[in-house]
Amino acid sequence: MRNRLHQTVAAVALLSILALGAADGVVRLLAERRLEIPYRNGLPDGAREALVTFNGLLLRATGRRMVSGTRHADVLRLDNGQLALCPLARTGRLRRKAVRDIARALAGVRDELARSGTPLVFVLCPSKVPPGGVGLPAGMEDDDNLLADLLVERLGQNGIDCLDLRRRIAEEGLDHASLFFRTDHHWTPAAGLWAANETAAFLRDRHGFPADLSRTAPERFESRRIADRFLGSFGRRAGLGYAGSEPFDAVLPRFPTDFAFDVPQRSLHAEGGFAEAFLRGIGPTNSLYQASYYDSYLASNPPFVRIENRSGGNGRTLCVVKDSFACVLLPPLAIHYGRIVLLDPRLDPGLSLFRTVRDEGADAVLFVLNPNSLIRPNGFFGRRFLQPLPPDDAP
Amino acid sequence: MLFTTPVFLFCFLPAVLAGYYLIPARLRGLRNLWLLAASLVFYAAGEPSFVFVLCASCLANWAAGLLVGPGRRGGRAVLALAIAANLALLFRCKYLVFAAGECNRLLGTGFHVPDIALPLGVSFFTFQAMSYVIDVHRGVSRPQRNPLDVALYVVLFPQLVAGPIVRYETVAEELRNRRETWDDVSAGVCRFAEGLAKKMLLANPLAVVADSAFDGADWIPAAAAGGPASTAMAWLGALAFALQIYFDFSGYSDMAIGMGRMFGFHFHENFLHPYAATSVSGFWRRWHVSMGTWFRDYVYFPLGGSRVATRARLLANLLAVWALTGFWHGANWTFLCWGLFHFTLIAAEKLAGWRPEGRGALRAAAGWLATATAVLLGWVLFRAASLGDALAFLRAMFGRGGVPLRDFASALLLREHAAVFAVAIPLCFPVAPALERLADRLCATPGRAAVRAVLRAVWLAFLFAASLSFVAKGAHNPFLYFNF
Repeated sequence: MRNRLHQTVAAVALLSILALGAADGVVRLLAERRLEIPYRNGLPDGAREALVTFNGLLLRATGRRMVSGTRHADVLRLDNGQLALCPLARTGRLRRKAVRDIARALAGVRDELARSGTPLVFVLCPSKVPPGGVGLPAGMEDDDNLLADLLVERLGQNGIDCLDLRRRIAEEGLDHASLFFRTDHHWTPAAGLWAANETAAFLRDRHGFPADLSRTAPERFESRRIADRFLGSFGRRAGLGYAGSEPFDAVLPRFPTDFAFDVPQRSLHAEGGFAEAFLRGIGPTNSLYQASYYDSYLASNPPFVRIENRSGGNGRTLCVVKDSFACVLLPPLAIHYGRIVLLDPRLDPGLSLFRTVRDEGADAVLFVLNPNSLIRPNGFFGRRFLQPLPPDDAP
Repeated sequence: MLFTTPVFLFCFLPAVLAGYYLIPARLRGLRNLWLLAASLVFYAAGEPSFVFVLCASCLANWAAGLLVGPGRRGGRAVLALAIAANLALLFRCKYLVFAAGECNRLLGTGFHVPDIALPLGVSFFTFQAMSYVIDVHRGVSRPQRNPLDVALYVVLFPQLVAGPIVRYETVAEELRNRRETWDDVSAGVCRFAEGLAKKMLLANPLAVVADSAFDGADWIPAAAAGGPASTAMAWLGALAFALQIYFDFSGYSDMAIGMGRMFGFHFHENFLHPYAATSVSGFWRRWHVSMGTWFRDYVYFPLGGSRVATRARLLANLLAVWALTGFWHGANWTFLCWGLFHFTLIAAEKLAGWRPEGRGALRAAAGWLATATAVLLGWVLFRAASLGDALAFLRAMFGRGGVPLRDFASALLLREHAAVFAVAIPLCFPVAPALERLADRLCATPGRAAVRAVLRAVWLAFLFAASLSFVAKGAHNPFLYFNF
């Protein structure tokens, strides 16, 4: 009798959970009067997100620091509560080989560009883990910064101009953690503005590219809250219950700007001020798990973008090879220049750096990258990207 | 399709249950047909090309069953043919690649090594099919006239891909004359939830630890000589794997038994707290009982079992059973060695007359410690990708091979999964039944019983929701016994 009672109560509870999960999709269908239920892998989005949030709470309650539950690409909570990607345990040999190959490739690019007098600058974007591995579990190697240190050293040995933003953060005494989203591996738009000013100053001082830094001083920008609650990519993996949300603030100039923004592959053309050009499509969404505000920056990180500054830059053209860290750096940087062309060879293996430099008439080439982006199984650049043009076709 | 996927939990299972109970109970044949169709869809979702072979196997074994009954002329020949055909199918699917490859490697032959992917659950359904034909031949069960019933017995989705190996005689009566009751359905749902929790909340996190120790991880520096990064990591990995395989497989069995009850079938228990055993023989009476009894009844006893004239014959019988048990788990020398390792231990126990049960606490404790250690070391052979890897792992466990005593990764893994170990280790022992008995005593009055029922339901619902949260998250989800 007793068994009957608890089994009945439990069975009803469990069957209800299953039914609720399935019913969620139907409720959404009725509520939104849509003909498609947002199912993914057999589970309605609403139910899945609720369960992932609950999962986050469980992981938090059990004191977990590594939260993906896999051996690969795990999300790690640093001592200060920030979520970062668990550093890889690369051997020193592997790191040295990878960096040597990259430095060699970049030296080749530098030499090729030198023929047309085009400078090359490497802007090294910092990783979430501060130099020295502060906040990592005891004993865990700080692969990101070891890789970055090695890269800076190698670039120096090869005579490649490098702006190490980690060093600038330390010199200015900035709080490393405050530059990043807590639940995402990227830095904030405010940090992007800071980095843009650093880059413009570097290009001005080293290569004589005019830049009136007072125009892009932080006090001439205002913060605009895009969403009170933002869940970065690591937060989405760990679950809201684990990571908690944070606000997403964009920074916008208080002064008038006028840009033309083109993504030829998507036939996207936008004109107008800073917000109209760079923050298209960013806005609150129903689901924290599906709103990736950072990724929406700069029209969702396309492989090729052309930005025309029509409100009085210095008239120079930059060709920027970038990863996603550049998404919040380049819009404020564009205020100083006439045109910026962005290339992400990971997203389009058909891109060619030298052809773009020639076609766009670039005055300088910037690599704005986090070192980790460069270490990929098939290489960051792909086979065609760095191939020089035939002699009669050279820049 | 795995039991732990959202598609199964939120679409397949509710749909099959609903469809099943919408069919009136008096239409038993239609209900069986519905279950058979659902089982084939279940199998086809993971193994679409092999589903026809599965159907052909069912049909062939049904036909054999009609011809092998006791006293039928030529019954023995048909039985031999049926067993040979079943074993040939198993060999072709599971062992041909290994056999050809090893012949070429060791004997220098030039056999073509075919590219054959192991069909899901082939070892389980082949053994079940053989069980049917043999039981009919022995007169233990009557032959089924209806091929659909034989097919349902073989392909019934709860036990199709990872067991337990249900004996035909267990469900022969229920195939035609079972009575589904709410008691069975509710008990089945609870059992399913317990199994899912074992799998998702214990086995999967433990798999991360075990896999990290055996295969390494992105964030763990590899040892210079390969293998685990330290002695501590090796022991942690071996312990984690021992717990993982227990909770993984017993969780799957719980889910299978639970789902069987939801449809009115009553399968036998498959795990009886094996890690509480005080001898290796005892361990095997509690571990994967359906497989152990299968080999006992269909291999060991026909060979003469332990009632033989000489010790040499006894050892030969044991050797045959354990070599087959090892190879049943997979086509790799590691599995054979694992089987032979257990043969050695069991033979030693039999020859020495080692029976610690009921002979004092100290002897039982010593027996438990020795058994647990031996089983743990055996799992290293079982889990390692090759004999070389197993040897390197065992060397690391005993501080050989130049590995440090400990490393940061083992400490971090232990800290991260401390809660899982803290729950999993006690659950290897009969703690839950003891708690049930205690709760029974404490909740003797109807009022208290009702409170207990609600609390238990809340607890189970919490476990179920927690399990589903890991399902939804799609965390590390390997099923160890899927390919056996």
